[in-house]
Formats: sequence, structure tokens, C-alpha cells
Amino acid sequence: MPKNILIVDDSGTVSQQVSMALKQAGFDTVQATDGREGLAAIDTDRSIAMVICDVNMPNMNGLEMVEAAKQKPEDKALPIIMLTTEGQPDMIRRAKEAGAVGWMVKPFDANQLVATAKHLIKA
Amino acid sequence: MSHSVSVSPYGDGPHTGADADGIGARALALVGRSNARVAERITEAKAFTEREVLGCGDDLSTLVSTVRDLIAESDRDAAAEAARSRDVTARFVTGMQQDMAAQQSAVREVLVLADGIQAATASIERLTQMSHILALNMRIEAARAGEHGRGFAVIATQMRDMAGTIRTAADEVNTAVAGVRAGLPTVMAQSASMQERAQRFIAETSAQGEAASQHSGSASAQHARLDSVMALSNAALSHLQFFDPLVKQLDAVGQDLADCELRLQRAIDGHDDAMASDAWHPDAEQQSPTPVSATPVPGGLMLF
Repeated sequence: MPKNILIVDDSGTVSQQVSMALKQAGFDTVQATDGREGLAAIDTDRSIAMVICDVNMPNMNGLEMVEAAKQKPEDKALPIIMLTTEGQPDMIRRAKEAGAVGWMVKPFDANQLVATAKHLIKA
Repeated sequence: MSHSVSVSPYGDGPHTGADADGIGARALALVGRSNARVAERITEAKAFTEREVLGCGDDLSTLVSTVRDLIAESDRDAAAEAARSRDVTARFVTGMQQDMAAQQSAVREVLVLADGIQAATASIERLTQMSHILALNMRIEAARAGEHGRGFAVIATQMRDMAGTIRTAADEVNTAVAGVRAGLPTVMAQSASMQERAQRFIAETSAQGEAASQHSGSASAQHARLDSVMALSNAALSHLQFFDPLVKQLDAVGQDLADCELRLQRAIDGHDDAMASDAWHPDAEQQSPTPVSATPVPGGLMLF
């Protein structure tokens, strides 16, 4: 059964590439362009099984979105992977403390992304 | 308008404020044009990426899906045709085998009947011989009986004639039976020929089944080729991920040029704060964070 994955990134290029890689593997995708849209999508679309989220975005960045999402009990188990060009240890630590389950640095490897999605959604 | 004196950048002595304004205006126009060109190039590059490159990736993905569907449909059709062909063959072969068995059984029955008929004609021949002998004896007795034996002689003659007729009929039956026996080998030969044809037919339909299997095999090869095409396409598109930080840098350059244009305009308008540092990027410190030593590496995944 196809699973919905939410992609939160202000870059249309990256969003589309991630979406293509996941769709070829049999997933469905939903896209949001900033943290606020991402949070709204998580609240309204209960078929979302996983989130892939950029860090640097306008209006609400990725770390703020994760912190807000994990406040809700119903979203505590939702796996969120950060996909970003950043690699600073304090950012990674903040993401982990906020409840993200992983950190992937761009440019991403499509095969690794798909394998991660399959692993996290099955779990 | 400002009337301050400035030094010409061309080293030809101090200029008046009007000259400085002219230089400033030209500089402003130059920056404005550069800014516009940079913004235009950025817009073109983004539009090209989305329209041509990513669009091609999408089109290719759709095309590959369509081709896969066609291959699957072709496979299903071939499998259905092969199954139908096998059914037809099986029914035909079963029917033929039943017909041939019935034919052989009929031939055996005919042989049995022929034997029976020949046995019957042999009995008839013995009877006719006995009749001849009886007729002969009757004529002898009729001759001995003289006048009184005349009627007896007539009966004897009739008996002789009847035996002859019966003998002729028996001969005709024997001839017919011999004809049937002579024809049976031909029937057996035709039956063998039919069996041979059935075996050739089975061999041909087996070859068709083999061809259908090869068709399925080639479908697997086609799927493998499509997988390679998609892998290559994805690998090519993955390079676009480097495009994104480049565009962000160009955006930053565009912003710098816009600020520069603004400051030049303010300088021309005579604002003393045009060169003040706080008139520059108010949030400059947030724009380019100093990267710490790279962990994790690009493409790397860290699961918590």
C-alpha cells in the first residue's frame, strides 16, 4: 500500500528530485515550501507516514517545525529526517533533541534516501 | 543637490559636485543594469531547470512507466495466447488419440468378423461337397430305382445345382473377405500416418510454447534496460542538487547589487549615511554561517 511522505523544502528543485526518487520506489509524496506549511500538512493529512525536512527555510525553519510537531502526542512517533546542506554539530544536536530521527547532508543519494524511507516506514 | 568636491578616480584633479553626481549617476546606471542582468539570468536559470531538466526527468519517468505497462500487457497477452494454444492442442491430441484407438479397435473387429465369415464359408464348402456327394448318391439310387426313381433323379439334380449356387456364393464371400483383408493394411497405414501428423503438430506447438517463453525472457531484459535508463537519468538529475546552493549564492549577489544601487542613489541624493555600515545588510550575520568542520559528509546519513 503506497505510503505518503511529506517533503518540506523551499527549493523546488530539491523537492522535485526527492519526490521523483520516492515515487519511483512506490511512495506517494506531498510537498510543502516552509515549516508552517509542513506543520499544517502534518496536522491535516493523517496518511503522512514520514517527513523529509530542510533546515533553512523562510517563515519557519526546519528545526522549529520539528520542535512544534513533536509537541503533539499523535505526532511523537512520526519519523522526521532532516535533509540539509548544514552539518554543524549544535544544529544536529538540536534536531536530535527536538525528536528528529536522522540527519542527511545534501546532495543526497537517492538509493540511500529510498532505503531509509523503507526502513523507517516499515518500523 | 550636493555641491561637495570629490577626487576624480581618473587622477585628473579634483572635480566639482556636479561631476561627482555625473559619475555617481553613471555608476548607478551601471549597477542597475548589472543587477537587472543578474536577476534575469537567475530567473532564466531557475525556469530552465524546472522546465527543461526536471520536466524532462518527469517525462522520462512517465514514459518508462508507460513502457513497463506495455511490456506487462504484452507479457499477459503472450501468456494467455500460449495457454489457449496449449488447451487447443491438448483437446486436439486427445481427440485424435481417441479416434485412432477407435479405428484400431474397429480394424480388429473387422479381422475377427473376417475370420468368422471365412470359417462360415469353409462350413458352406463342406456342405456343398456333401450335397454333391448326396446328389451323386441320389442319382445312383435313382438309376437303380428305374422308373420309380425318376422324381428322385430330378431332386438330385436340383440338389446338385443348389450346391453349385451355394459354392458360387461362398466363393464370392471369400473374394469379398479377401478384399477386406487386403484393404486393412492400407487403413493401418493411414492410422499410422495420422499418428505421425499428430506428433508433428505436438512438436510445432511445443516450439510455439518455447517462443512464448523466450518472449517472457526478453521482457525481463527490457525491464532491466529500463532500470538502467532510470538509474542514469536519476544520476544525471542528482547533479542539480549542486545548482541550489549556486542559485542561493547568485541571489545573495543580486541582493548585494540591489543594496549597492540603493546606497549610490542615497549618496547622489546627498544622504550622509549612505556609506554607514549599518545601512548595509541588517541581518548580514545570519546569511552566511561559518561552516564548522564537515561532519557528516555530503550524501551521508546519520540516524539517531
